[in-house]
This record gives sequence, structure tokens and C-alpha cells, in this order.
Amino acid sequence: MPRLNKLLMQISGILAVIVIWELATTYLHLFKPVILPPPSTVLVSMIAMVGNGEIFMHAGYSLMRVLLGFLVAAVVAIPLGIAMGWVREISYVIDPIMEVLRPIPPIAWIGLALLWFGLGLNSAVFLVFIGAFFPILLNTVSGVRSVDKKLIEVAYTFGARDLEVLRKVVIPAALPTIYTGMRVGMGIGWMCVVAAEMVAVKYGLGNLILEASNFLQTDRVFVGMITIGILGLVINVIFQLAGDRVFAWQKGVSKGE
Amino acid sequence: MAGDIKLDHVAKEYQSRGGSLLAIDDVSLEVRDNEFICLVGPSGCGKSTLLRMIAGLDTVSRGQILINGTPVVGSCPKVGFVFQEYTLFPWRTVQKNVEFGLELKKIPPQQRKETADKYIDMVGLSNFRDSYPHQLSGGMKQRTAIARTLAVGPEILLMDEPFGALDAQTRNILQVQLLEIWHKEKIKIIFVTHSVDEAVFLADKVAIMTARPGRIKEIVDVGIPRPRVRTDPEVNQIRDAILKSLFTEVKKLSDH
Ligand SMILES: Nc1ncnc2c1ncn2[C@@H]1O[C@H](COP(=O)(O)OP(=O)(O)OP(=O)(O)O)[C@@H](O)[C@H]1O
Ligand SMILES: [Mg+2]
Repeated sequence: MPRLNKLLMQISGILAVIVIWELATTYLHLFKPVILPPPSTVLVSMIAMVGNGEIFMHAGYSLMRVLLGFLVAAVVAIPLGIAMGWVREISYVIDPIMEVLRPIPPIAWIGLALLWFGLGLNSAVFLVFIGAFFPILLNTVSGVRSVDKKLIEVAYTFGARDLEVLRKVVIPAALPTIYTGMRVGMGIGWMCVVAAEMVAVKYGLGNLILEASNFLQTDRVFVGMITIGILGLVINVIFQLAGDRVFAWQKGVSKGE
Repeated sequence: MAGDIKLDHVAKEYQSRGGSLLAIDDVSLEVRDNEFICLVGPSGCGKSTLLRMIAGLDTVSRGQILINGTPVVGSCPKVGFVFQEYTLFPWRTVQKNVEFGLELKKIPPQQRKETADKYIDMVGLSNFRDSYPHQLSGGMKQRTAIARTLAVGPEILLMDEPFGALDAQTRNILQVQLLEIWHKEKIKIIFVTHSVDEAVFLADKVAIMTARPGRIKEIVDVGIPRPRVRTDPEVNQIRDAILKSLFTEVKKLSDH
């Protein structure tokens, strides 16, 4: 019963916003449709865009770009992070470079992205890469460094050599933290792909929003934003659920047993 | 005899910014046959340090440690170590934890499984093969750790207060089980404990260490046939003697 109550309250919050929004626009005419169209209009456009597949096309582009950039970031950042976490000397060399680059917001790389890769897929992928890279790297480094020293000693008492310790103890122990970095990286990558699509490429949800805005199609702007929000949420939930399954050993309690 | 241990005037000095700290000063000790040695001593006297040096986890500062006549350099599976802390790999099941050392030895999976099964049965965890460490009680975790160490067939088993974190009941049961295993596996055991009770119940010989810098103060031959009864007058007598000897060392600590 309390769970049902909680659900009802959560839904009622969203419903309230929609109802007030609808009242303020359709009935009280507080805003011009180009500033704030009623939710019903947004819904109608959304249904139309789902019906003709337009929204799937844009979402598909965005997802593909974010996935590519994310994968490249993971493939580069995870091995680098493991090396930095495991070998002090490597991190002495790399750390200063990272400290200089890290505070630069990913969006600020758009200028370079356009110069280096021009308009097109590569620019967007590059921007996602920049956004996803640092969270993955930093989490990997800290995951590797915070592995319980006792577990490493245990491995040594069994005669393990350094690389075996790395492979059989350090990396498995660091995986949950690395995974958290991937989840955060994916979230930031998703923001970056939208930004990139507003400048550097055709199609994609960011592009949809910008074009709709240029044509004063505010309802389509909303459809784009809502889709971005929903997909971001879905991606995060998928990451979370998959992580809970894979890293069940980490939890104090196991579910479903 | 396989796995003979000889500590020859071993000393350990820790260097730190504030200078150096002499943790162990001149310890000589020999363990032969399949002896069960318990090491007792006041806190901070260097018991863990001594075990860690025998296991090759720490280096000696002076003197040498010989196993089968060769000086210890680094760790090897011949010398097993059971830590006081729970040290199971949390991402591995009981079965996979016990197979850990066998994987390192490149034993094929089928044989690995059979060996692991044998030791899991030996410590009485057959029904928990597929459990993860977080699903086990403290006693079960230490039993798994013991099985993991035994599975690689060590000649020497070093145990650093392995039952320290357990309740008295579980402790007593594990002590009995450990003696059975020791008897079956024919290995040497050096067992560090804070409990003189435990030492007298388990050991052939109890080595008493002095307060820091640690030295061997005396070695008491227990010499009571097993199974021992904890309330036996003979047991009481030896326990009292050890306690008295230990007390003067502990007192040194509080006098400083
Ligand atoms: N890595 C280290 N660096 C500096 N000093 C250390 C280090 N490890 C241990 N020591 C010091 O060496 C001494 C012996 O420590 P050790 O852990 O061997 O004692 P112990 O007899 O096992 O104590 P306890 O019974 O409390 O476990 C202590 O004074 C401790 O502070
Ligand atoms: Mg200790």
C-alpha cells in the first residue's frame, strides 16, 4: 500500500504540471503558442512524428553518435586509467595534462571539432568522446587505486605475478567504480551529442530542436526536448539495472534469493 | 622434512620520517616436523610482522629466514597465509575463491573443481559453494579462506589471528576443525593469537614474545595429548604459566 501511495504521488506531480500548463495555455491564453504551446498540441505533434517515423530517425542518429563516441572514450579511457592507477610513474606524467584539460567544458571543444573534423558525424562523435572520456578515466584511476591492499597481498601469497594480480584482483575489484564512470560518462555524452547536433551535423534530436526553433515550431521543440529527456532516463535506467545485476556481489544483500 | 622453517637472528626495522622503529629484534626460531606453533605476545610486539616476513610479504632488515634451507624472497604458494581480516574476493563465489590459487598454478578446470570441492567439503561448506562472500557469516568466510589456502597444498600455514573476529562458539568449533585439518594435511602451522586459551588448546609449542622490540621470550612445550579438554587441570596449569609470563610483558607496555 505505501508503495502504491508513493507511485500515485509521483504521478500526481507530473499530472499537476500538465494540467496547469494546459489550463494556462488553452483556457487562460496566458502565453502565445509560439512561446508555450499547450501540451495537447505537443502531444499531437509527437504522435504525428512517431507515426511518420521522424522522431525515430532523429533519435536513431543521436543514439548512434553517442554510442560511437562513448565506445571510443571507454576504449581509450579504461586502459589508460588502469595504467595510471596501477603505475604511479604513468600518472605522474599524465596527471598534469589531464588537470589542464579537465576544467574545459566539453562544449568548448566544438570550435576545434569543426576545424578538425568539419561538419558531420566525426565532429559529434568527437564531442561525445571528450564529454565521456574524463568521468570514465577518473573513475577508473580511483577504482584501481582504492582496491583493498589486503586482497592484493592475498594474491601475492598465492604466488601471483604483477600482471596476474592486475588481471585477477585489481581489475575485477575496480569494475564497479569503472562502471559508475561509464554511466556518468554516458550521461555527459548524451548532453554533448545534443549540443553537437545543434552546430555540426544534420539530423538528430539536437538538430530537430534547433531547426524547429528557427521555424518557430515550438511544439516540435518540446517534442525534441521530451524525447531527449526520456531517452536519457532510459539509458541511465538500463545502465543501473545491468549494473545491479552484474555487480550483485558488491551489495550487502542479494535480491531474488 | 618438507617446509622446514628457520629464523636466524631476524630483525625488522621500519623506516619512517620520524626516524626508525625497531619492530623485531633478533628472533631465532626453528619449526620442524609437523609442528603446530602458537605465537602470543603483547599488542604491537611484531607478531604480524614476523608472519609477513616468513610469507615474503615484508623483507627482513637483518638476519635471514630459511625455508627448506633457502632464503625467502617474495611469496610462494608453499607458504599459505590466512589473514585476520576477511579477505575473500567478493566477486567470486566460495567455489571460485577456493579455485583462485589453482588458477594461478594453471591447473585445468576439471581438476581445479575436484580439488576445490575436496577442501570445501573439508571445511563443511558444501552447501555454500555458489554463495558470494556477502552471503556468508564471518565463520564461513574464514573457513572459505582456509580452504582457499589449503587447496594449493602448502607445506606451511601461517595464520594471523584468523579467528579473532569470531564469537567464542564459532571459534571453538573452528579450532577443533583446524586441528583435524592439520592432522590430515600434515603441515606446519604458525598461528598468531591473542587468546592464551586458544594457544594452549591448539599448539604443540607456544612461543611467547616480549613487548616491542619483539623477541622470543620463551617457548613453552604444551605436551598434553589431544583431544585436550579446556578445563583440564594440566591445561589450566600451562595456561596460567603462559599468562603470567605474558603479563609481565604487557605490563611493560603500560609502564612506558
Ligand atoms: N608498515 C609499517 N610501517 C611502520 N611501522 C609498522 C608497520 N607495520 C607495523 N609497524 C609497527 O611495527 C610494530 C609491530 O607491528 P605488528 O603489526 O607486527 O604487531 P602485532 O604484534 O601483530 O600487534 P597486534 O597484536 O596488535 O596485531 C608496531 O609498533 C607497528 O606500529
Ligand atoms: Mg597483528
